[in-house]
Amino acid sequence: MQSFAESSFAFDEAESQDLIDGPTIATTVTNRMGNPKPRELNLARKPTIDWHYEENNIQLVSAPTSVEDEGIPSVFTMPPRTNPTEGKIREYLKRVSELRADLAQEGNVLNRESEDDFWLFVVNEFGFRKGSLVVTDDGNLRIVWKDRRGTHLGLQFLGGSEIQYVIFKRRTATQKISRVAGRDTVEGVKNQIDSFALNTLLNE
Amino acid sequence: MSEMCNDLPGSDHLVRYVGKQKILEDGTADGSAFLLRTNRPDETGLSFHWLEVLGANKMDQLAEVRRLTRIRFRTNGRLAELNVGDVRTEISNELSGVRIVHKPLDAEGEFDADPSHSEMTNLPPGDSDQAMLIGDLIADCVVSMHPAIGPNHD
Repeated sequence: MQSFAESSFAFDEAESQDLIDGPTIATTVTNRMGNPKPRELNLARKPTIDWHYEENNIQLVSAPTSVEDEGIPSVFTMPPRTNPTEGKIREYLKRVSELRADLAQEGNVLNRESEDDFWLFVVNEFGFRKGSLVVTDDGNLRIVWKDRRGTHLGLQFLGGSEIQYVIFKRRTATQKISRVAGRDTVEGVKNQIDSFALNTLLNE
Repeated sequence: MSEMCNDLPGSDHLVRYVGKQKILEDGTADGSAFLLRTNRPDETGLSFHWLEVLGANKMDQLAEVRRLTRIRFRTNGRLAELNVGDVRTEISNELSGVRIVHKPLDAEGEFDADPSHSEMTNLPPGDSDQAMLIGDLIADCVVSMHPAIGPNHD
């Protein structure tokens, strides 16, 4: 994947003087066919050339209308430079959006308090790897982590800062699975996670 | 409803519809798909279709389930298949008294009689912590996930 600097014509030093003198050219990049593809360029963000051009650093143009026309990734559609937490949150956002749409098809809605508690948990417990998200009949979000040995943690966000947990833990010594369920605050749930040594299931 | 409450043979199989929003991102069913509904206090058990009464092979059985169902199957929903004996054994390790019984349905309105309808009875209330534990345990027993909408189906 090309970086913004590599893909944007604005960073071509051979044309830098044109960029200063000819702002209309500066806002145009081309796709693979050589056709102009207008895009939004924030010249003020460019790091490598010492610009003295101060007027109208941002020029708004119409966006490309189809992904297939994209010959060069836009700064607004490029994947992030991999902050794991940001990537995880983007995936959760997408999944929550899908679940909301599925519920809407059935005339149901997400429980707002559950969703609020879910996001608070995700942001505060950013060290946990991404879990799998579902929604219950009550409109509550539930996040699940599983491994191949049968160890499992399910957390349902009930709203009001209350979380229902279900833990399956395969004991190394006996190979039997211990199962427990209950409900508690985040701190109480974290104590359960420690008690059952679930950190290897949850950590990145 | 016909009152035939015989326990299903342990060697046979059940399927239950799982909506898309209860399917985990690895394609498996979540335990929340196996809870009694809290808004239906009249619900006596968790409904399933007993496959072996519907035909000789899996394709015919599933086609009959799709024809006989009285709920709306949605695109990307799945039919979760379980072995009767395995799920009964696993549940009994956590909760006694759960039965898997045959409860065929008579014809009603636009719906044909359904000879495959069965129920898992004596489950805890759907909003309880124990119910979710049992639901996750049942989900762990699922052996296959089949498309709820078959080919040539709208």
